[in-house]
Amino acid sequence: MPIEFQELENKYKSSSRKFQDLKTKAKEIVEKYASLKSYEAQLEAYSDESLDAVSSLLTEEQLQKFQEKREKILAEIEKLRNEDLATKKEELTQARTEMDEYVKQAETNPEFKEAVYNGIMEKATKDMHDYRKKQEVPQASMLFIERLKEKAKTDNSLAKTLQFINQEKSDIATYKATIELMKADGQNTDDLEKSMAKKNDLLKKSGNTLKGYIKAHKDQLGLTDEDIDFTNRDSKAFFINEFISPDSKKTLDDFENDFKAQADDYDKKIKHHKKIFKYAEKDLEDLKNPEQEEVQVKVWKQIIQGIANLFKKCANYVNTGNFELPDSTPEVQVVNTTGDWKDAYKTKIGDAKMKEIRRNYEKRIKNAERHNTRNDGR
Amino acid sequence: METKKIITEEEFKKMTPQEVATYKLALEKLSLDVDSLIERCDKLLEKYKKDVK
Repeated sequence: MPIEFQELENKYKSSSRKFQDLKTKAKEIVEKYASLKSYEAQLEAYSDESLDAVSSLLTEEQLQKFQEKREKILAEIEKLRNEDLATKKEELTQARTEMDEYVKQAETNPEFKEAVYNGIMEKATKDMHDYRKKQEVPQASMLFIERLKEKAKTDNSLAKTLQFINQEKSDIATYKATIELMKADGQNTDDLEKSMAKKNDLLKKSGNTLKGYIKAHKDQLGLTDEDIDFTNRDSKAFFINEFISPDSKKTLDDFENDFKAQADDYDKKIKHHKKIFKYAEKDLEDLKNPEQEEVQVKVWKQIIQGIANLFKKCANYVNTGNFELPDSTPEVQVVNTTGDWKDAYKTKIGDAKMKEIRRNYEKRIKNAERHNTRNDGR
Repeated sequence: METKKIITEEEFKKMTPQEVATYKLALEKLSLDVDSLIERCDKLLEKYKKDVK
């Protein structure tokens, strides 16, 4: 029985609670992402570059502690990757395999299959649209950073501001890590904290200078007033808040790389869903055209007919003496000389010819697949 | 390693085709998210492991 879309829609809405377990999985994955971000920030503070900057303030023992902490964080990331995420991946792969198995079992019902394929195509289209939309912010932010960096090449004051912000943030991150470590050792950190407070003030001033610069040069940077709403998470310039924050050590290059990674990630997801769409489309097409196989049989019959005609001609030439087969001609053993094409493929030449055509077909199929892969990759 | 099923076959049978499609794509999406995180871990390990003496 055909299923009304509205009916499906209603059932879908009422049964969304069935996906609670998936929501939990998604939540767990988001949590893993947050842990990873936190590890990343800590690693920045314990990088060799940061340690070099404060090495004169620290004892050999303290430096050693820094390095131990970094190794501990890296071990945690390895655990996250090799245990937590690998388990999640395994669970999801298993669920996908089982789901495929279930779908296979339900394949006895073509209406069900058709609706599944249509559902997949519809959802994949929506997901692709959503990913394209989400991709817009990182792509636009990347372009903005590119223009800002380009501008800094000719505008000395901007170059200096950017450089100063990077330096102050790097120093502040290192001060913070050092203060934390010295406090743990019971040492007095007053002087360091005063120095850090001064750096915080200077950073704040430079941050405001940069924001003012962006506003004043918005046209040259290709921005609108809406784009430079520093409080709007979806604006192209929202990341500037993080860039000028003492809590972030990220440089403009880091932001650019992050935005590129985000845009690439969306790109990967879009391509993946495009493939899903194509597979579903093909399966649906095959489902609607069960005679596809018969068409191929017809093509084969035509090919065999052609070969049979050739043999009939050969036999005719031999019988009438109008044509002599050269000595080198392979043994021609036409099983049925009455011209019945059905037997033609049973001869050695017929068999060889069929194999040759089949090889050509296989080559064409492979080429088409390669071509499709390239197109999918675009 | 023992992993629990996300849905059972019985539950699957009760699902509408639209639900099956949505569920299947949700699994795909989560799987891609995990792949991205694994990739990110690899990048961090590669970037900072060289610092470890």
